[in-house]
Amino acid sequence: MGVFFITSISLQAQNKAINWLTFGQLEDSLSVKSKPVFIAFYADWCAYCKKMDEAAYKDPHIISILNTQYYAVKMDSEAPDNIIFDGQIFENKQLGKTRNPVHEIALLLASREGIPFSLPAIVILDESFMVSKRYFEYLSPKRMLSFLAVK
Amino acid sequence: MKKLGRLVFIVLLGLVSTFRGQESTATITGNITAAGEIVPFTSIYISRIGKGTSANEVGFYELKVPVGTHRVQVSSQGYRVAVKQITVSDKERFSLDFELIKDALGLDEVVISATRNRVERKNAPVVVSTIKPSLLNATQSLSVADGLNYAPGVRVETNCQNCGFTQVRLNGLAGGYTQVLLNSRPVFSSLLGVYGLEQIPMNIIERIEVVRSGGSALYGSNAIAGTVNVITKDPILNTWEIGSNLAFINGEAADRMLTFNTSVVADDLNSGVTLFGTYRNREAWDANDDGFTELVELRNNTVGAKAFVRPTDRSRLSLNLNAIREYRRGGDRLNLSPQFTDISEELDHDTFIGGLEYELNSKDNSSQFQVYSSASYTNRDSYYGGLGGQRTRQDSLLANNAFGSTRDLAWVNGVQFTKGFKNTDVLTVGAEFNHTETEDQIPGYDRLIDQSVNSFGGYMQYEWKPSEKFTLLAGTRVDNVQVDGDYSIGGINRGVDINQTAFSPRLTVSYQVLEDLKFRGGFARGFRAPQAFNEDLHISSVGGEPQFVILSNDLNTEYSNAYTGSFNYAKNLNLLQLDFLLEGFFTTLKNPFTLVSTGAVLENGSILEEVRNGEGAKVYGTNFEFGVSPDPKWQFQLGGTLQKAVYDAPQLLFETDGTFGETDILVDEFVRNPNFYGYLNSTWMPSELFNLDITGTYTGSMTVPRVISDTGFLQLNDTDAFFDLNLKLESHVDFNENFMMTFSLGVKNIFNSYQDDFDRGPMRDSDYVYGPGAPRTYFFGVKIGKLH
Repeated sequence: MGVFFITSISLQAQNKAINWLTFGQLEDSLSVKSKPVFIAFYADWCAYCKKMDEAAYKDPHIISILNTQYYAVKMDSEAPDNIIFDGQIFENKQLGKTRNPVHEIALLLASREGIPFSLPAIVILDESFMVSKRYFEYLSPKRMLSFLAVK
Repeated sequence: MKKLGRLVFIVLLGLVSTFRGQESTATITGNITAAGEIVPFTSIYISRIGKGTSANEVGFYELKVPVGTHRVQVSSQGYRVAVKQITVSDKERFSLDFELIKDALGLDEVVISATRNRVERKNAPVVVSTIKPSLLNATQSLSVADGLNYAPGVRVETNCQNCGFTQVRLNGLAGGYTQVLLNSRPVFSSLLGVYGLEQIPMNIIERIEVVRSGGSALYGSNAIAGTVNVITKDPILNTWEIGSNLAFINGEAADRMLTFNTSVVADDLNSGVTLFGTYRNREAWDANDDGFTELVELRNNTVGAKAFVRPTDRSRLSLNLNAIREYRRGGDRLNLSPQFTDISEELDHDTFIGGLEYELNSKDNSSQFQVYSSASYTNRDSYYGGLGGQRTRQDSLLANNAFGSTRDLAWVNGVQFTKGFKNTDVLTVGAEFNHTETEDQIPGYDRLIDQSVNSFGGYMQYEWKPSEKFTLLAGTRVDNVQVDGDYSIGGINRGVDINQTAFSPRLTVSYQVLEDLKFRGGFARGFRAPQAFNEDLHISSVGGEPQFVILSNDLNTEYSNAYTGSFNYAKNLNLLQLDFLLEGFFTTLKNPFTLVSTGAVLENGSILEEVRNGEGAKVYGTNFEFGVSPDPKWQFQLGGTLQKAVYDAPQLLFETDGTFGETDILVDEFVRNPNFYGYLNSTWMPSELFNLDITGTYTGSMTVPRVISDTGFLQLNDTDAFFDLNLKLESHVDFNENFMMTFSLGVKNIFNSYQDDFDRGPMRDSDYVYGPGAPRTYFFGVKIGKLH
């Protein structure tokens, strides 16, 4: 499984789109090879997230960097399903209780002190899966490149 | 490897360590839940001491605080902010749990009109009613004017069968008492007025804000009854949309509409443009088969653009341009040139609106500076007249000379400075210079309006928040108004030449009585300098002849004192959300401009109405709004107004010329103003694919004058009540992220609740119109594009 993803990533490195992984796929890939992880949270109503889909995630440099040097994960912060990661079950506990139910994983990785959960939220983890950077605003292609390229 | 588990630990450790090393402290701990379930990662904050933390994944928090009394605030996206007070003593642990409630009725949305700055609606010291695109969509409103009925105290009425002239009444006061704003700027001149509202395409509207009572302190003269502020969208995404709507009025007359808009915004969001256009073609409709229109023929083409650029992170320059071409024609035999018909009113507007605005924010975002200039120019060709049911040489000559032309310019310039202080007080100061020029002439009737108004205004407002519960908003505006007007009709000449300065103070307080209950109270003074307003330019037809309005000599400035008080109760029980607004208003008018019919005094037998300073009046009553949303699938809103509008002494409406059997007509209450009116708005949205909207308005019985003789003698009729109910079904299909479709169909005014006693024939009183604007109408709509 993991091997399959590694090969598919290298194949897609030249492709025009980011090879977005799910958390399940991320776990498989990490067990084969350690790499920094780029996680982008979005939601239906988040216009700035959509703008990044149109701009930053269509940028050939960003696509190439994310596909080769990172595992890129994209997740709907309001996803209703349970996600099994690292032997734990993460669920959306706010489901049915609020109009914008935030998934446990999104809360875990992208919560901030004194500020309500907000989107867009981008979390970058290093090779040992520790949070290295978090961004809570719209990122233009130029801005995103400026920190992705720093290796 | 518990990767995520380790991560949580790292994140939380960072938060906890911030609060070490405090002296004489206590610890507050608690659990945060909503409807019995844990809400993880909420933010807990005490604003007075600037301290906060986040709850952990099981909704538990711990916060070290100095000894004393604290207001602890808990917020989480999708929930309403919860606040509790606690007093803590040294080295103890206190338990403080929170139960959160989700936000369904948009109580946390942001509004501008209350203070001229962006504030959260629920915190605004003045009650602001907002009308959102979803409601305009639910009511299948083709223009802004159609959707305005769905806010408390607002009623849009049609005034003429020949030209479709409409006006907005706020708390029962006529159109001239309401300031219509586009993005907070008064670009709609007296001529455009409500026509302007009908000409703004729906597809560029972000929301409409209605503030009742006392806007004069901020927006100047003419905002006595309040303001209607149309806010247009600021795009982020690259989108496009094409929409079409087809309606059949009474199943007969077609109303066709085509709209488009597209937005392009740069990847860095530092520049962008929205382009939009509308085409509308509505056929005329005749309700009583007398050959004369009840609904006029309407053709409207609008194109516009809105562009912005951010030269730096802190500044923004924006430009907007609109070009509107609107044609209306009513009367009989619309296929003939107007001079060969019995009655025709034909209006061809060519309007251009342009505006430029620059905004600069300070480094710490605490202060903002704005400078703006907007102008609108309208060129109008008109025809008001016709043969009037006879075929004499005299009638023919007059009919051939009933063509007129109008030139109208409104130019608004201003600067505004806003400063927010550390203690959350806000100071707003500004200055405005407005210039309007109106020239309206119909040589055949020897009619001329030549008016120029210059007004310099300065305003200052301070928002004082000594405690979290109490806000005081005090402001005043000083206006110097110069009006220079010449008005003549059929040899009667009148003039206004005034230069005067008026103070319009405003004082508003708001107090959070209970957690769920907010009181707001206020006083505002307002004034209107004598001048010709929108409705005074309107010409109707009675007895086959045009009916004119002229200002009387020596008009005095009209003053108003408005008092309001309201309670807003917002209560949540588990998933159910309730919102209840009860507002009382009391407005006194001194020297109100009042139309008095002087009968058929003009040479050709035309009736002349004079604007005079009427008797003092009191307008008072109650606005209410009740909203409930049990869950996201259901939403229900009911609102209305119960009011009285009475003159201090009997007001003259018609002055007799002594014709046998006719007397002066006097009224005690305002005419054309129901004592009860309201609306309902409900939505059922079982899924993203489909929704059902039921909306409706109720118009209570009122007194409507009708001309019943050549001399202009009036009869006062009590009308029936109307209930105009609309049903709409809508379906939404996403083909992919770049292409979506929306289909809709429905019926407006299902019960066909419509006026049934229209005046008939060439001699009719075209102003005898009341109740809902259209009979039963079937519609279909399609929208395609990258809608979101």
